[in-house]
Amino acid sequence: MKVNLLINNEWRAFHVEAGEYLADTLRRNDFLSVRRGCDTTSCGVCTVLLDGKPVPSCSILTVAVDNHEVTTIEGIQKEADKLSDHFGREGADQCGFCNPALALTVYAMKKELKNPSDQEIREYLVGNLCRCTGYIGQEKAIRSYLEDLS
Amino acid sequence: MKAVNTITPSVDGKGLMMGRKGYTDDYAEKNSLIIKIMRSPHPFARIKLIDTKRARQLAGVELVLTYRDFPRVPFTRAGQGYPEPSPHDKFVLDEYVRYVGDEVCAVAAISEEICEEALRLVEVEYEVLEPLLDFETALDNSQIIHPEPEIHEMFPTGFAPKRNQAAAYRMEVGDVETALKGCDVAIKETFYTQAQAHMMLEPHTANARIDYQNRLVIYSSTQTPFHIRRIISQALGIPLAKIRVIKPRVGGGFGGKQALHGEMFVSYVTYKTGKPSKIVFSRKEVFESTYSRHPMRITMRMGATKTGMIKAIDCHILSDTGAYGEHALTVFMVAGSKVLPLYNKVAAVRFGGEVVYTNHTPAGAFRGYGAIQGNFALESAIDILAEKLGMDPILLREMNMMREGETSPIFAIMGEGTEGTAMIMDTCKLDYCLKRGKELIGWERKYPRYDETREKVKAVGMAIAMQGSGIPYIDMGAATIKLNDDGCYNLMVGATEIGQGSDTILTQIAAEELQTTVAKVIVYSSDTDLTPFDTGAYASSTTFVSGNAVLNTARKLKQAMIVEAARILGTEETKIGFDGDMFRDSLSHKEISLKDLSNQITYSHEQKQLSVTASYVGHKSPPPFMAGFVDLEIDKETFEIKILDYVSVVDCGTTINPKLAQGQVEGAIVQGLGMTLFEEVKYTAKGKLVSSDMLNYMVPTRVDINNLTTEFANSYEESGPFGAKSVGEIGIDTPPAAVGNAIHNALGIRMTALPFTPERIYRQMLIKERVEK
Amino acid sequence: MKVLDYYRPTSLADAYETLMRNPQNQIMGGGAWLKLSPGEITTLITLDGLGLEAIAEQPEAVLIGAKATLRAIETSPLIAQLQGGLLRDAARHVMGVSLRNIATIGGSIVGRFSFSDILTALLAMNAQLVFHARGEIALADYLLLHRPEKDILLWIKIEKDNAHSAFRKVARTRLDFAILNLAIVKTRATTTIALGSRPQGPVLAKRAMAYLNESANLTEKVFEQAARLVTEELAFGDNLKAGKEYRRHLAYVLSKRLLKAVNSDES
Ligand SMILES: Cc1cc2nc3c(=O)[nH]c(=O)nc-3n(C[C@H](O)[C@H](O)[C@H](O)COP(=O)(O)OP(=O)(O)OC[C@H]3O[C@@H](n4cnc5c(N)ncnc54)[C@H](O)[C@@H]3O)c2cc1C
Repeated sequence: MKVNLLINNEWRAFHVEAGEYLADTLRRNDFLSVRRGCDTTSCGVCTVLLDGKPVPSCSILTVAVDNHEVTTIEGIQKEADKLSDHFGREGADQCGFCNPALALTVYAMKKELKNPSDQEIREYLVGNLCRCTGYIGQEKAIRSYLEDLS
Repeated sequence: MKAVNTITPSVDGKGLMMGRKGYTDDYAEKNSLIIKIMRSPHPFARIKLIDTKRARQLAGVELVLTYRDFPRVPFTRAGQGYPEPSPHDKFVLDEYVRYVGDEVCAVAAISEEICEEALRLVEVEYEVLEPLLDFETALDNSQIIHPEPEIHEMFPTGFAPKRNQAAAYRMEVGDVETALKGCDVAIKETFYTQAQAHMMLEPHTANARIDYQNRLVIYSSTQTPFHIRRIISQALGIPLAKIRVIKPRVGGGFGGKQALHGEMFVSYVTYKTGKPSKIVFSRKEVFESTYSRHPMRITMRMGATKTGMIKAIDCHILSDTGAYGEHALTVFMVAGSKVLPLYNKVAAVRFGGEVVYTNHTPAGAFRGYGAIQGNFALESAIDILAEKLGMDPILLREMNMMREGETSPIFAIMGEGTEGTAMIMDTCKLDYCLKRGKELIGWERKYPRYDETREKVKAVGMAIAMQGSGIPYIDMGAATIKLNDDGCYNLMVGATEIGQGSDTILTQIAAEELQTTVAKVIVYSSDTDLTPFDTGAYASSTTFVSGNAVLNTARKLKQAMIVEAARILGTEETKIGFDGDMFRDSLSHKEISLKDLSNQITYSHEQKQLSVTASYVGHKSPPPFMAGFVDLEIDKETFEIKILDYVSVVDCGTTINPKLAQGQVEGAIVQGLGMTLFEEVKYTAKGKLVSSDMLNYMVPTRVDINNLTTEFANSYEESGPFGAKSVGEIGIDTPPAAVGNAIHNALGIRMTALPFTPERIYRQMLIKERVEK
Repeated sequence: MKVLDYYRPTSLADAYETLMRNPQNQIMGGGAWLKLSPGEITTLITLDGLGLEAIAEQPEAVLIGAKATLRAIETSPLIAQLQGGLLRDAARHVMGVSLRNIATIGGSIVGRFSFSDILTALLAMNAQLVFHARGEIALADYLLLHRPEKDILLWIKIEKDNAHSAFRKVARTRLDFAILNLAIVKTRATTTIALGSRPQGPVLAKRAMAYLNESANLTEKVFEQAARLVTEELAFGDNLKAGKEYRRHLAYVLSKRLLKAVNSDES
């Protein structure tokens, strides 16, 4: 089946099988920042933005998002660059495998929530598991990113 | 110091967050053959018949491999130095399968779907054998898991497969029984720990191709690229010179990627077919078919005088290594050797036990490496003893614990599989860690419990811990630094960056010694063709061992540059001063910049490449120490636990990168809290792992962790690079005992089996109520 | 789950006809659970473009389209007002935002997951379901059907009772399924108690409800007795998450607490 996706502001056409998931379509087409971590929609590593909202790309059929907008980390490079400065200052990067997905979710949260509390931030990001950092360093970095108006 | 012990962003964090290519699977060839493994549905069986004909005939199938395709060479996947302390008890494929998830056969085909179809076409008939699933009955059981004659140990490790014993050890200092008899107060308790899963977010993966020099090039998500090269060469009979292993970015390891998992298959398939291949483990395979932490039963006896002087400690361990003996001996020994020296004033101490085979998922290396298990038992026992003595548990620790300038006879006796190395604690700030932790948690105000209401109670608990910094006389790291034109450097290290930040801190160490900035040192790590050797990222060795190697190398390069500067300035080397940018003759005040010097020797005059390689092997393993304090709230009716804060005060010497060190501690604390509270491992009665996906194996989420408070003691370890010791593992050790002690302080019950789920606490409370009635 | 074909119907009638054409054809909600299910689907039918994403207000009730995502429900001001915000509170406990951005309320109902937090809340709220062929049926009755015939769920109708409510999920971590979930709705006249993930699916605690509705004074003693009735009348069992005994104990403790909560904020 032919599917048109507006990926990172560029229309792309893909030929996919009906049963192919978005994560695989993207990876197959060299969006290597989109990764799989779990097979059970549990870890958050495959998160992309669909029409601006974070979704698990491992569980969405590509055909189901025909004519929709998909954003991967390549689509928000400026924000990722900025966020990573804050991560760098807090030493919160570690293995980095899930960081593009986390950055996308943080970006969506920034657009969606006004002045979120610590608890709201945690709840919004809870689907993005991290086994490296213990979370607190990430949270400090995210908080300072949200407060950074530069 | 300007490059070390300053806040420095990691050298790779930005690029990785921005999504740049970097992980193993990103480098797989697009036309790779896909490899899938058929896994045993039985915990123990012999393959009576395996018919691969129909699978081989399926279009798109390249190879179907069974045990008949491999030479009968036993090896160990453990990924340790050579000769390994782990028994050589594994074949790439074998006629016997020894746990649910063990490898039966492998298929290489042009797509995943065809692989799966082919696996359905393989016919296997098993002779199902009675499995051995209870590790407490494994020793000398009539069912023998490893009867095969070819397997062996590399040196004496207590390997006795006919007894289902993968390893055994015992030692005694003084006379424990006599010392215990002489004690006013003695306690005994038995503890159980579970088979925690590493659950790094990147599943195990490897890929291979033959390059244009006809060599096998393997990319692997591994902690031990050099060991992989050796083990593949030995097990598959491929000349070492024909193998190149590249470790690109790794998405977390925690010990789970010290061993070999898919590497054997991609190597074999690609070497045999000449075609590129890859394997990516499913999450279920990661849980079921890689390995996990060794579950243990630990019996602690301890005795003290009325005044609280601990006189004797007796520790017996039974450890479950599962189907294969990877890290069997060494993890078990560390449960003693990096735990018992904490209380070094005893008259007698004994340690011993057995590591047994069962038909469970194998156990292997995991951050903490035995120390977390041993620490849980020891530090729970200390609180039990304190209660019996009617003493404050912190005071009891202060009276008996290791102090700076002291030692323990255990260091000399127990190493990792071999004899140990005597050493004095040149740095040990445990006393400070305790004092500061007490303040930070508000111990005086909160101990034992506080803010009690009808429904809830808050409480504090604590534990102390030690770890090591590499394995003396075994772990070796090496580095090469070369000077480029324009005055920047390449740093090549064998050390394995797996997310812990080793590329960054090694760069900082080089920059510090060369008096330059991190931006001028270009680091490249872990490529067996291009970087010097390193044993790998394990045993908390990178900062100390590889860091010392980098420091040695930088020193030598600096000397080599000074020689050139002296020549150019026409003076003696001893007269040359170097500040990172300029070489200056202290007599004539003539000077030349590093930039000019490097350009000159590259392009215009007496051209040469300055490049230095040096290495380091430790002669001691200075332990980092810490005190961990937990503040928690328990629901007195549902027994749900909320972690309010976890205070860590750590002595790891100088923190080369304070924020990355903090990240190591905090990540380890949370992983330890996961083991303590959530991470339940469940098997069916038939031996199948059921907590084998992320819907059933629960790790801490960010909502489950409220706060962490982490500080470092002011400490400078002379033997470490710029005063540093290790920090990768120490953080994981204290949570089980600290939380167990806090639960006791809150509810008056003693939890002896991990994890402390609300349901288990509930059951313990029922028992308590029954006893009280 | 293997999906062979994907179809975007032009109308509900078209969707229904396609659904009935082959036993292997299925409706897709968000597809999150379908992905985890074994087996093969011949044609997967999306309900996109049929207006079923809406959350609409009627004079007496709120209508939720079967395609409304859990996130849409959680953030809807209408739902926040509805019976004390119970459905919002339940939705919030399901996984993370990204899953809730795709999981639908329709899938949550037709999937009939025994662990479902959504079903427990909807049951306590006395939700009515509107199917394409079957028409209207109470959720309580729908859950009793052994194997409901294939149909398309269109709307969920919930009355705008002026109620107090409380929801509680006990789980090992924030991302786990419930060991037990419990929802209580208290209107001026009646109290409704639903428990799910026992690990069997959600049910009403009818004896406890009857006892409460007959009690003149709602004292702590009465709550305790009602909680005891809950544990006596309902079955509890074992699964990977927890055992029967602990679940029964939780049912007692939480019934008591939630009853107290819904009655105390009534003042
Ligand atoms: C990893 C994970 C964790 C979860 N954890 C929780 C939890 O803790 N608590 C909780 O309450 N829920 C949980 N859920 C369930 C979730 O809330 C949804 O209920 C579930 O995903 C189904 O919704 P869906 O839209 O994805 O349905 P789908 O997967 O699309 O469909 C599920 C079933 O419903 C059918 N269906 C869907 N819509 C209709 C319709 N309109 N008419 C007829 N049939 C229809 C489908 O044919 C299918 O059989 C979890 C789900 C996942 C994947």
